[in-house]
Amino acid sequence: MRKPAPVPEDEPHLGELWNRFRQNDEQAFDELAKRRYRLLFNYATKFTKDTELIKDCIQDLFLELWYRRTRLTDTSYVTVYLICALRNNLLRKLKVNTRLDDSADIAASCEGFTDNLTVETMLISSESMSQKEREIRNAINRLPKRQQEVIFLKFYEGLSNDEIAKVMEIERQTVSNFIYRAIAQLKTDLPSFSNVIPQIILSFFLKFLS
Amino acid sequence: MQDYARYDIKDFLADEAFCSWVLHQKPADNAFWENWIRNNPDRAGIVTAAKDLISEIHHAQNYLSEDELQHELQRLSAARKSATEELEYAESLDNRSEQNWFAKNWMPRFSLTLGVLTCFVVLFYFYTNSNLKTGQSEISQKSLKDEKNENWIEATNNKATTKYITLPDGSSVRLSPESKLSYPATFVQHEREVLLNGEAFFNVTKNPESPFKVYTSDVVTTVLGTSFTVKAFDGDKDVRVVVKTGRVTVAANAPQNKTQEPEKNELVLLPNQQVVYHRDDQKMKRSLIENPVQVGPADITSQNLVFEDAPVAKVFESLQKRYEVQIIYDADLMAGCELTAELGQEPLFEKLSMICKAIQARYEVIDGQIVIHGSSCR
Repeated sequence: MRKPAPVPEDEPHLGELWNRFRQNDEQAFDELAKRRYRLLFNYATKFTKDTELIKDCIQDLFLELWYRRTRLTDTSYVTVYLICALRNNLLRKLKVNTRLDDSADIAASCEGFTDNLTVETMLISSESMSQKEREIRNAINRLPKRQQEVIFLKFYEGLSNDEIAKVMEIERQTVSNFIYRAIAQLKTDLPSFSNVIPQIILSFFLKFLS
Repeated sequence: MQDYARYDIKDFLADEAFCSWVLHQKPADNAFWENWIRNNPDRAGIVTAAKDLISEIHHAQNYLSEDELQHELQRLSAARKSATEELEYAESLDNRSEQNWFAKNWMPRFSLTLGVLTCFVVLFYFYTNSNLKTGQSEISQKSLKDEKNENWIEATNNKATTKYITLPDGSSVRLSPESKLSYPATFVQHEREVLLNGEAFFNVTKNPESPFKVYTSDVVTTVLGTSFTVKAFDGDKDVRVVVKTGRVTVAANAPQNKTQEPEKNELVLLPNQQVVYHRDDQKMKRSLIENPVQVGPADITSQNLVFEDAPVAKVFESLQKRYEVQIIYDADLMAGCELTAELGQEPLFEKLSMICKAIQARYEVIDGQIVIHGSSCR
């Protein structure tokens, strides 16, 4: 059986940028941010829909890395490192915000955004999206929080189940359960999804009957 | 080996290797899946559907517009700069106090230190200089020549007509106007390397033990024995490699330039396929040439293809053979489709349109392959 390669294609390049930036290379730092910013931003939307908070969080994360650059260690998987770091920062910040604001609890700050999709971010880039992609987005947003996160890590970044387990601090088996459940749910929710196979069979029967 | 043939769309989605291929498109994975689809044409529909769905799930989860991204990156870069300046200011303060201390305690040994420092600076200068050289493709071409330490012949074509050259291994080259080809007077064993600037058609003598490589400033084309064209003029925006017969590998020629993305740096080309390397974004794209030609001896290709109530599978098979292109279709689904036609010398795409019209299908060219979307014709 073919083992999936654990490290994506541009990861060695990121590793190299990482090492250069640890040695004060400013261009390497900017390049690294450029390559991973979108991923980190989109990942953060799984925790909060407050885009300003997300932007600040990512800015802080990168600046923190820049301050500590000489003390950072070599890492073989920069992407997972950044994802983990952002996840910790976000959860910490969300907790603090919740404590300051009595009326909200962590559940609300994390999960209160799934039904009211009026937030501006939900519209962003949606013009460039196909009808089907919009349906998919809505279906994903209806999934439970943890499943959304798994789906993101798997289908946005292509992380392996092991890596997802590491990021989310759960068992590998739990990850694969989440994936199967989420895919099954998406299959029920998305007409276009379940149509793929039956469509062919259906058209066959229709032709046959006519 | 996973039994992908029994997979349904859900299984493909859940599969790590499949997902990784769709999202990262590594050359090795491309080769595996292209091959798999070729061997399981009836599953091509499911694979394509799963592939599309993964891409759509990927896009559906993007919440950041390009403008916002650029804005945030600039903000980050600016914050980083001011952070660096603050730090440098703090360091310069530190240094000043250090210098005073230095003047008091170490002045007598200053001249010695200066001497050592000069040595370092000079060494560093030579070191970086030699590094710089390998970073530039033109110079690296020259160093390729120098390394060989032998006689190289430089053929330049300044005329308006094509120039014919025979290489030491018997391979023939048709060099286009305003082009230049450099090659060794004799090829060293196991190595057939030439440098091209401009356009040339190569007909390479088969020698499985000694790959034939054409270097241009951006891409390296590697073959064992086949015919193909390389077009790489210095001023042009893109570099083009077109295959006539056989199989050709094209790779980006920039391993020494570390800032480049290593992704998609190698593609395998079959006849009638071409790869275009865009110099701007340093990306390679594979496609079919505008008008694919029949491959093979003229007495065979000049014969018309005649089909009478023939299954489409047979029709596609004949076209695949004639043009050596890959045609992907669902054989089970289209098993009932039959065709009566005579195909002559009209272009391939015209033939395909005719066939598709007859069987109520449509075709699409994806990544240098023809994909037929059809239905059962019963």
